[in-house]
Formats: sequence, C-alpha cells, structure tokens
Amino acid sequence: MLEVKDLRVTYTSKRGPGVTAVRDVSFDIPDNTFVGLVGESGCGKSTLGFALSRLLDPARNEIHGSVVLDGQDLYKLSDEALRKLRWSKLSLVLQGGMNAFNPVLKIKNQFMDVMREHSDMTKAQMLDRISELLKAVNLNPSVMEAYPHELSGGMKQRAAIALALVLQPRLVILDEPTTALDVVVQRSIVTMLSALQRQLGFSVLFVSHDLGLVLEFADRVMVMYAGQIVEDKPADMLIETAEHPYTKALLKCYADPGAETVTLSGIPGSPPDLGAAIQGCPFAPRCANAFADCRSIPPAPVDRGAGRVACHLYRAEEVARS
Amino acid sequence: MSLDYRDQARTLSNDWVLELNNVGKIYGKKGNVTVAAHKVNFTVEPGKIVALVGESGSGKSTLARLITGVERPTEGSVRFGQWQVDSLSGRDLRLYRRHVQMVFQDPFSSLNPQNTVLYTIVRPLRRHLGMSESQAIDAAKSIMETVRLTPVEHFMHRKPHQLSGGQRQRLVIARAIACEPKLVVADEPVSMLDVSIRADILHLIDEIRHTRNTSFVYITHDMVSARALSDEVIVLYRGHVVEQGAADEVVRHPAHPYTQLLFSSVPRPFRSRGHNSRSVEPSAASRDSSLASQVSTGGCPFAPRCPYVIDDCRSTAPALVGLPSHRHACLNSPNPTHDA
Repeated sequence: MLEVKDLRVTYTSKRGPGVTAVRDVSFDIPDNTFVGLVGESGCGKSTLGFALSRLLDPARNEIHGSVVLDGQDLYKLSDEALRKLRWSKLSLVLQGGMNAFNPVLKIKNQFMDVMREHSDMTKAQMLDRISELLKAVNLNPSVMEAYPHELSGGMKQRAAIALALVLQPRLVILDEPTTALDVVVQRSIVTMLSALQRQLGFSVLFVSHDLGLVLEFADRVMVMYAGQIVEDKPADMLIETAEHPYTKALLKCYADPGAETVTLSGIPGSPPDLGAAIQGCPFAPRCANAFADCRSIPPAPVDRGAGRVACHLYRAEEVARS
Repeated sequence: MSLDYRDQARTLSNDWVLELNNVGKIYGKKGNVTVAAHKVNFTVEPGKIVALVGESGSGKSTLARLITGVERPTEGSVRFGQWQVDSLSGRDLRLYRRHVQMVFQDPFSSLNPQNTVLYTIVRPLRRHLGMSESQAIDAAKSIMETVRLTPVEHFMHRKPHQLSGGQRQRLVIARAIACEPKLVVADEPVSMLDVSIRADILHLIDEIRHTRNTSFVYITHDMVSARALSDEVIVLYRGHVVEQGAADEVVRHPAHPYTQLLFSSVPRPFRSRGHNSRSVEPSAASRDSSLASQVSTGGCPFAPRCPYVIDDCRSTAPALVGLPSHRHACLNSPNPTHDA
C-alpha cells in the first residue's frame, strides 16, 4: 500500500553542507499492518515520518526518492490533490499532538472542521461519527463538548488518535504518541491503538524510541540508526533472532524486572554526526563485531528470511555459503 | 548560631539520617485540595539509595521538594542530621543545601545555556565551600574526570548546547556532587535520555554512591532501574505510600495491586505477546488514571481503579503491614507476599 523507495532527506543550511537525516531508505507497508519504526534521538525517525507525509518544505530541504501511497506518488501530486488525500488516506499523530488542539474550540468542533473539509457528511452524521470514535478510544462521548484544557494529557492523546481515524485513513503515522505520558497510560493507549488497528484494518507506522514497547505491539519492526534502516523484521523474529549488532545491543538494554538478577546495560559511544558524510557502516565505531570492511564499505541490506539486515557480518556469511 | 556556617557544616556527623516522619503536604484551599503527600515515613542512611516509584501525580516530586527544603510540609517533619529541614531559612538553608543537592529530569532546561561546563561546576564550589578561583578550577576538573566528561580540556569551555543529552546529565550530576553533598535527590534523572545511554548514567550514580558514600533518593517510574540501582523501593500512589521494602522484594513480589499494575506496564520485549507471566492484568479501565474518578474520601486512594476492590476499601484507609523488609497497604491483596 505504501512504498518508499530510496528516500533521502537533507536539511540544507547556509553554513556548511547540511544534515542528511534520512539516507536512502526503502521499505513498504502493506495493508492492515502495525509497523514500528524504532531509533534513538537524532537517528532521523521523525524526519522520515514527516517526509512520508510530505510535510517538509521542499524549498529548504532536499528530498529525493519516492513515496507512493496507493499508486500515487506523493511528491508528484499537486498541492490540492495532496490536501484531499490528507486525513482521508493518510493521517498523522504527533508527540505533542495532544497540544495541537486549538485551545478555544470544543473537541467536537475540531473534529467537524476536518470532516467538513474532507467529506460531505451532515451534522448529525458527524456527531454520530465523533461519538462512535471517542467510544472506540475509550473516552466518554461527552468529551466532545469539552475544551482541550479540561482533558488530561492521556485523554487528549486519545482524542488526537480518534481525530486521526475520523475519515478512516489507510495509514496513520504516529510519531512518539505516548512519550510524554507515564508508563501506565502509555500501555493503555498503545493497547487500545493496537486493538483498533486490528478491528478496523488500517495500517500504522508507530515511530518510537522505545524498542521494548514497539516489540510488544507491532507486527513488524524497522530499526533505524543514523538515517538508515539497519534491520527490518517481523517482531517475533526480531525478538528471537535479532541480527544487527545495534539491535542486539538495544535489546540488551531492556531487562526483565522480575528476573533473578537485573543488570543494566547500555551501548558505549554515541551516534555519528549526520551533518558529515559517513564512511562505511554508521554503527562501526560503537560495534563490538566491526572489522576492516565495516569502516570503509557501507553495508547494503541483505535479505534474511522474512526480514532484511544491513550488516557486513551477514553478507560475509552469504558469500561464504555460495 | 555562634559558629561560622562553614564550621558548622563540618560538624555534620557521618552517621546522619534523613528522616521523614508522618509527612503530609496539601496544596490548595478548602474545597479544592490536592493531597500530594499523606503520612509518609521513611529514612535514608549514608551510602544508601532509596527509590520513590509512581506515575505522574503520585507525589514523587513533591517529596523531592520537601526533602530539599524548597517547600514545607503541612504536616509532620523532615529531619536531616541535626537539621529540622521544615523550618530552615536563610543561612541555615544554604548550609543545608551544601549537604543535600538535586538532579533534575530535564538536562536541557536545568543548565544555564550561557555558562560553560567549567563555570557550572566552579560556581557551587566557590559559593558553598568558599574556594578561591584557582582551587575551584582544579577541583572542578577532577570532578569532570569523576563524571567522565573527558578529555577535560575538550569539554571545559563548552556550553550546554554543545553537549549531547547524556553529557548534559553528567554535567548536572557533576554540579550536584561538586561540594560533596551527603545526599542527592535525583528526580527522574534518565527518563529524558535514550535507553542506550541510561545505563551509563545509572552506573555513574552507583559508582558515586560507592566511592563517596553519597546517598541518593532516586525518583523514577521505571521499576527495572529502581530495582537495579536502589536498596529500598517506596511505591507512591496519590501521595500515599502503598508499598515499601527491600528493592528486590518489592519489584519481584509486588503485593499491592498498584505496584502490580506498574510492574505489568513495564515494556518487556521478551515476554510473549498478550501474555502476562507474573502479575494479574487489571481490566483496561482500571489501568489508566485519566479514566479513574476522583479519589474516594477516607478509604484507600487506589480503590476507584483497583480490580480487587471490596466495600471496606472505600471506607477504611489501609495501614502499611508486613515485615520491615516488605510492607504494603492493602485490605484485600490478591497474593500477599511475606517473604522475609
């Protein structure tokens, strides 16, 4: 349904070469799938989310590659065609999405703005739809009469998710939707989102820094590092056989609180500067398994069963076998 | 107050104790009050790490403010060594802060963007220890080594915007430990950081505890790090202590339904999906504080969200019961644990 090919985004700058936050990323998202995009701060995951929804200003950023949603290349559409497609086929929930509500409008009016613009529902139909959606996200339909400040952070984020679903889009991109909330609320919202996704059959791209959370809910997980997708696999498979050294190290950071003993582990070093060109594999300086090739040749993604890994360790293995 | 304050500072004995005795804090006026702390009792001894665990609104940060003397309790008392913290002011309060320091959650907003790394660490040394500029600079450099902001020459003239999140938090910790406090209150010190660098910061805290015998009050919502780092865990819900005990005991055998809820909310990728091995999964509605109604009056604060609620819970406030190593406050605990 969504096909992304060789997407590359550079934030240009008057001083210096600019920052290439997304580096030749290709993937696709089929219908009715919950995809997690995981990476640490500064890895380009939010930029990727913005680029997918064509929210970056082409005058200030260099964007290459294609984003095809249901056969339409978003970067070839006219502004008007793109406007029609927003909300109805593709919607977005942001980290601060709960604060994106207009503080002087009731929740229902903000829903109706979207529906009036993008559909020809009558007022009664709109109100029905709003109350149906608020129920779906476990809110009391009376919330529609409230102003945003009357709701807690968790309630606003639920309402933001309901708003994203109002016109039954094919794809909902959520960028760190639960990061500002505490663990208990976070879990209840993601559980709700995952149930809705299965029930209504849309696709989700869930952008998060929290691999532990994403692995529990996503069908497929893409791990991003320094602007590139280094591993892309079904979640079950990733838990059992994570292959990229970065994914493995990241998984180690999640300890089971109920285990016999708990040790905290991290990843030494820090991610590369995306303002500079990267020689070889971006993870090589922090990687315990790095060898000479890693520092000079950028690893291409290698198919591994149902997934892909961009690491020389696995290419070497393939060469050896053939 | 006949002694010079620096002399008095030295008189703090090495067997000091921080003691919270029936501490209560109520915000707001009659009719519209928020109970941020209710009859909280605990002690922190030298070289110990005590974790305060709870979700937002549980009163964790209020306790931090009471311990550091930023706010005063409306009930009970906070004592630290010879100080009655809740009545300190002026010079005494400044003296107290030489011994009790704070690390904040957000390393992006708790540092002055105009100050260099070196100045940030030098300032408390000059202010609290009365060092000369050159003494303070030497001491600051050695503290930078301790928190591994190294090479020192490379970092000392940088400003916060030239540091990564992890480096900033190291600087915040450096500033907090500069004048060798006895106790550091760390309010969610790693929750704004990437998972891959959290462990480094937590290891640093542990190292400081061991090498300098500094105590920490570690405020967090993360059960995993609470268990890994601290000696004792105190679970708070709406200002009430609902469970308290040795870290391993509380986290591995959570007895209070609220602790179990927190426990089951920890992302655990290795747990098979939809299956909860240890704790009981409360119903969806009871999970989310935003869906819970107001606190019941008089009864257990968790009653409106509790899956095991019985009639008594709404009228009788449960007391902390159990062994000193593990106590919890629940009338109808689903699987009471009495591990010694």
